[in-house]
Amino acid sequence: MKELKLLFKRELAGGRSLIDSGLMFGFFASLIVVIYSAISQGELEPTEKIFACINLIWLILPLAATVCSFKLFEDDLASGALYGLLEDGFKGWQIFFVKASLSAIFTIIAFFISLLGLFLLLNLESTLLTPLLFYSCIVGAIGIAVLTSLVAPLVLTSSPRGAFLPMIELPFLLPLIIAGAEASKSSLSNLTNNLLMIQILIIITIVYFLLGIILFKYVVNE
Amino acid sequence: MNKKENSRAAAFKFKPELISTYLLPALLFLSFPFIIYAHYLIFLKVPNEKIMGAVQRIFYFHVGAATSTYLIGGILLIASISYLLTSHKIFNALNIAAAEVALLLASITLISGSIWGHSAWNTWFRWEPRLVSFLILWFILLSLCFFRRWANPDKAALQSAVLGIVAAMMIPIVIYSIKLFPNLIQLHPIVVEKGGLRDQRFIYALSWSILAFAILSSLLLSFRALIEILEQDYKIRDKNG
Repeated sequence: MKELKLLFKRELAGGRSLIDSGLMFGFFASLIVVIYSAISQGELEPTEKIFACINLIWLILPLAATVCSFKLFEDDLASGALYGLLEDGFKGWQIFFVKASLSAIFTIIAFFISLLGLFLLLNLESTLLTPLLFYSCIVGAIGIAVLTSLVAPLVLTSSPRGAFLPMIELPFLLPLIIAGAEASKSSLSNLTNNLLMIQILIIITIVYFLLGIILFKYVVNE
Repeated sequence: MNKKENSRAAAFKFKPELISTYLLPALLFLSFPFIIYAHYLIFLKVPNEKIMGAVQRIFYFHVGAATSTYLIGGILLIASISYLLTSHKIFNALNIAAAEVALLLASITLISGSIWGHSAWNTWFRWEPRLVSFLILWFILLSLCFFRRWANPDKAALQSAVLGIVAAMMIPIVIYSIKLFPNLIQLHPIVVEKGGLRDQRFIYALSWSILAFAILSSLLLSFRALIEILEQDYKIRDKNG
C-alpha cells in the first residue's frame, strides 16, 4: 500500500505526461462533440442518431486511451526510470496498477463528458440516463485502460514504435469496444437482453486486469 | 536472458533433434494416409446433403480447420506460459510457429466459411456473434505475427509470450459465442449438439477430417518450430563468429 501511494505521488509530481494525457483526451472529446453536431443536423431517425453517437464514443475513446497509455509510459521507458523503479524494489504489478488507474480515471472522465455532450446536443430525456449506461461506461473504460497499459510498453520497446501501436492494440480492444457499445445501446433502448453484454464486458475486464497484474513484470523485464 | 533465466532454461532438458529425428517423420508418415482417407470419405463415401447438395462437403474442411485453429490456439497458450516459466528456446519457437499456423488455419476457416455461406445462405459475411468473434481472432493472430516481426529482438521472445497469452483468451469467446447470444441473431447452427448430423456417415467423415486436419496442423507446427530453432542457432553462431 505504501509503495502504491509513493508511485501515485511520483506520477502526479511528474506532471508533464499527465497534462499531455489530459490535453489529448480534451482533443478527442471535442472531436466527438463536433461529430455529434454533424450527426444531430443529419436526416437520421432519433434512435439512429443516438446509436451512431454511442458507436462514435466507443470508437474514439479507446483510441484516446491508447495514446494516453503511450504518453504515460513513453518518458519512463525512454529515460530508464521504469527499470530504476524495479531496481528500487517496486513490483511490476504495482507500477501497472498505478499507470492503469490513471489511464482509467482519464478515460472515465472522457466517457462522461462525451455522454453529457450527447444528452445536451441531442436533447435526450434524462430518464435515459440509466445506471446500466453508467456501469457499462465505467467497466468499459477500466477494461480499455487495463489493456492499453499492458500493451503500450510492449509496443514502445519495439522498433517502429508509435506508428504501429493502434495496429497491434485495436484487435485486442475490439471485444471490449463491441461489448461496451452494445451494452450502452441496449441500456438506452431497454432491450430485453441488456444484462448479457455488460456481463461479458465485466468478464473480459476482469480477465485483462488479472493478466495485466500477473504478466506486467515480464513486459518490463530487461 | 539473465542468469536466473539461463539456469531455468538449462534445468529444462529438451533436445531439438528429437523433433527432426522422431516427431517430423512420424507426423509425415501419419498425415498422408489420414488426409487421403479423409478425402476418400468426403468425396466418394458421404452422400449429398438433401438441401445444400454437393456444396455441403466444404463443411468438412471448414469445421476441421476451425477445430485445429482452437487446438493450435491452446498450444500457443501452453507454449507462452511455458516460455515465461522456463525461458527455453523450444517454447519460444513453438510460440512463433503456433501463431503463424493458427493464422493460416483461421484464414482457411474464414475463406471456406464465406464460400459455403454464399452458397447456403446467399451471403459472404454477416455481422453475427460467431463470425465477428472469429474475425477478431484472425486480426489478433495477424497482429501477433506482425508484432513478432517488428519487435525488439532482445525482448521479442518474452513479450510475444505475454501477447500470446492475451491472444489465446479470445478462443473461449469464439467457442461460447454461439451459446451466449440469443438464437435470433445467430447464423451458425449448433449442429452436433442438437443432433443435426443424423446420418452416421456424416459423423464418421467429420471425425476423420478433424483428425486429418489436427495431424496436418501438428506437422506444420513442428516444421515451423524446427525452422525457428535452426534460425536462432544460426544467429547465435553468426554472432559468436
